[in-house]
Amino acid sequence: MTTTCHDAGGGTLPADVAAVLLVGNPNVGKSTLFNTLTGARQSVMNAPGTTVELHLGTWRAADLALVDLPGTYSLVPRTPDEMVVRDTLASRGDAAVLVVVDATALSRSLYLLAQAGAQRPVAVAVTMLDVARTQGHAPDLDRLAAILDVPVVAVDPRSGTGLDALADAVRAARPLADVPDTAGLAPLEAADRLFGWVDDVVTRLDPPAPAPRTRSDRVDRALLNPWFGGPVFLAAMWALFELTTTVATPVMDLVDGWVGALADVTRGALGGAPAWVSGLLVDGVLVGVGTVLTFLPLLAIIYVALALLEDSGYLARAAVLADRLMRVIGLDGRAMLPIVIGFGCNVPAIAATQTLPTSRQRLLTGILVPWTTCAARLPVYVLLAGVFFPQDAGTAIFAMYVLSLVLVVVGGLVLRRTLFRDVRKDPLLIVLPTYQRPHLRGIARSVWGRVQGFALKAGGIIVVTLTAVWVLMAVPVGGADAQPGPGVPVEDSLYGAVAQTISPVFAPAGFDDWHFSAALVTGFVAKEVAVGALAQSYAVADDSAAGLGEHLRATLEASSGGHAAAAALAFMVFVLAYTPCLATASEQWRRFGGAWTVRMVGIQLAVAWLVAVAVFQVGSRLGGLG
Amino acid sequence: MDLASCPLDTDVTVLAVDPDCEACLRMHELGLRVGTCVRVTHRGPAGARVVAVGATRVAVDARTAALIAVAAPAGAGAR
Ligand SMILES: Nc1nc2c(ncn2[C@@H]2O[C@H](COP(=O)(O)OP(=O)(O)OP(=O)(O)O)[C@@H](O)[C@H]2O)c(=O)[nH]1
Repeated sequence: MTTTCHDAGGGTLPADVAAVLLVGNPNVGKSTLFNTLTGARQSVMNAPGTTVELHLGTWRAADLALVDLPGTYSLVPRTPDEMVVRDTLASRGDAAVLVVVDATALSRSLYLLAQAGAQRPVAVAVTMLDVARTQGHAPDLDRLAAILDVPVVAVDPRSGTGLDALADAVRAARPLADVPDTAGLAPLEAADRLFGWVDDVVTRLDPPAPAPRTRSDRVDRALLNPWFGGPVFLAAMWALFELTTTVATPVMDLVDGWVGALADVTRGALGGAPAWVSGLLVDGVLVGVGTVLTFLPLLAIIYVALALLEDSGYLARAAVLADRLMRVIGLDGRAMLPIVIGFGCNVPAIAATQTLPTSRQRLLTGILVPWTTCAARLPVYVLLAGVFFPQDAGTAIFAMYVLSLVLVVVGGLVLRRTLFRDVRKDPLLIVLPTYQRPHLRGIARSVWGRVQGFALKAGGIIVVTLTAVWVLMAVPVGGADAQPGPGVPVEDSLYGAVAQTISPVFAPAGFDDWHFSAALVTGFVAKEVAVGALAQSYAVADDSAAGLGEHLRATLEASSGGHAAAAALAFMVFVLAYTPCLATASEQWRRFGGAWTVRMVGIQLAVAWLVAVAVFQVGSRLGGLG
Repeated sequence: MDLASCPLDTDVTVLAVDPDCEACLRMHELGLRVGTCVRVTHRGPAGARVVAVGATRVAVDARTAALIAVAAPAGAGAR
């Protein structure tokens, strides 16, 4: 359950949540530890006024509430996520902090420990000891505990080793003994002083010699090599795209088939009930549930792929390889993944924004993803390009893909200079984790949790909206003598009335006609049914493209004042740029909240309208598109 | 010599980090600070460098690498 919490007395958590705070550098295994400790007893909330997620859970074995804060290198924040960590700690001066320390990066972790534990009770959980041992320099933890004079426990969050001792450690948490006071110092000076303390601790621990070349170094020699690593990266991106399309489609079709069969059975079972009852239940609610179910295998596939990339350590390399390209729009190289996935389907692409390191980057990418032209938009392009540009259909469709990229890039540039000025163009400075074999049990657990999250949260929005759309289509208006129910002709329904009301908005784009605006309303729900909706509105079967083509041509000739091709192109552009589908909007809602989703839909509609109008106005004047 | 121009696989000591650079504090926090012994292990795409700081590997772009002045410690040679 995602609850957006309101600021309770200056903190970022409600005052009644008494909890142990989990703090650590990015990638130390903090979330894995949190998941292992809390199991399914978790909830997610946004820190007030931000899209930064805080995970709350119950650590049953210790009878404690636990809060997983975003990963950070420092309490001198550079991003809103890091700011939330600092503010949460500041507002909870008395709460114990469990600092997760990476055994392979002791200095970096101890620095954060020094910042967190100077004034408040801390306990230390040391992860990655297996990696440190392979590299030949595992720290002596008894000695570390003696030097720090706080509880230190070795854990492996993946297998759950050491977790029993962790509960006792947290109960025995106390402040660090002799951390230098940095109050009033400039950040760099304070950092220097703290690192003096860190170096002292590390020296007393018997410091490791600089690591010799490791297996990861040897792999990186190939994978970060511009000539070899580039093609491997492109192959990985291609594989992600194929997973979203070629691999996922048959599975989605299968689920769709099951839902169809279930719909038939349900309709049969409801044989005696009034038509509107079976219509509402089957064509409204069940179609909504079916839409959610068909997305589940796709999301599971993409989540598994992302988890494999992340856990293996390759994701950080992808960030390096795509850095130059994505930097143009101020994004981390990892933003390449959601954008590539978006060309297959926008729903998992929004989900894939989770791979980005900060909440603002996730949000910015989440706004750009809908401009990647997903596979569901292709049938609309194919239909219109075939009818209006029979000689150049391929070129017209290709132009949509080029425009899609242009929208992503220009959209990114504009947003970075307006709503996202705070997303700094930081230099590339990224820690490359050691390559390792992904932990399948952990992946299964996290994928299950995420798929469940989509089904429950985004799913609810989808079912309710699709049911509402059915009701709009089933309610007759304007003196139509039809009974409410499934048989109402589109143009006589409340839905048709809505389409007719909005259609004049599209006059400057050349397609002021209710058939087209109705298809856009349907396309808002799901693009793959937009072609069917057009066909249905002319009462022709959607496979009789020839008949439909004549209708479309006649309609657009009339609505555009003789510039049907320009109007068709404008319509294609609008389909490319406006809200991709209800499922995408629901996933945006789940991740970024209602206010941002409404803003995103507004931006998409405004941009789509402006570009469509520009295309029609220019196209109709050029004459060639008449 | 700086991290962008120093030879691969050679231990060097950080002499200075341009204090005006954007992410100076973060570099500090990731271990790229005066007196630390580091080593450039790879050259990546667009001139990015992978730097070994202890057991950690940090990737930095070419421009940032050029902001970090280094010197070979006395007596140290290429590995
Ligand atoms: N070898 C090894 N891998 C670990 C250990 N703990 C966690 N991992 C792996 O390290 C990777 C990162 O773990 P996460 O739990 O996502 O790290 P995090 O600290 O939550 O990262 P952020 O979300 O960026 O804050 C995952 O692939 C884990 O399976 C450990 O003790 N040893």
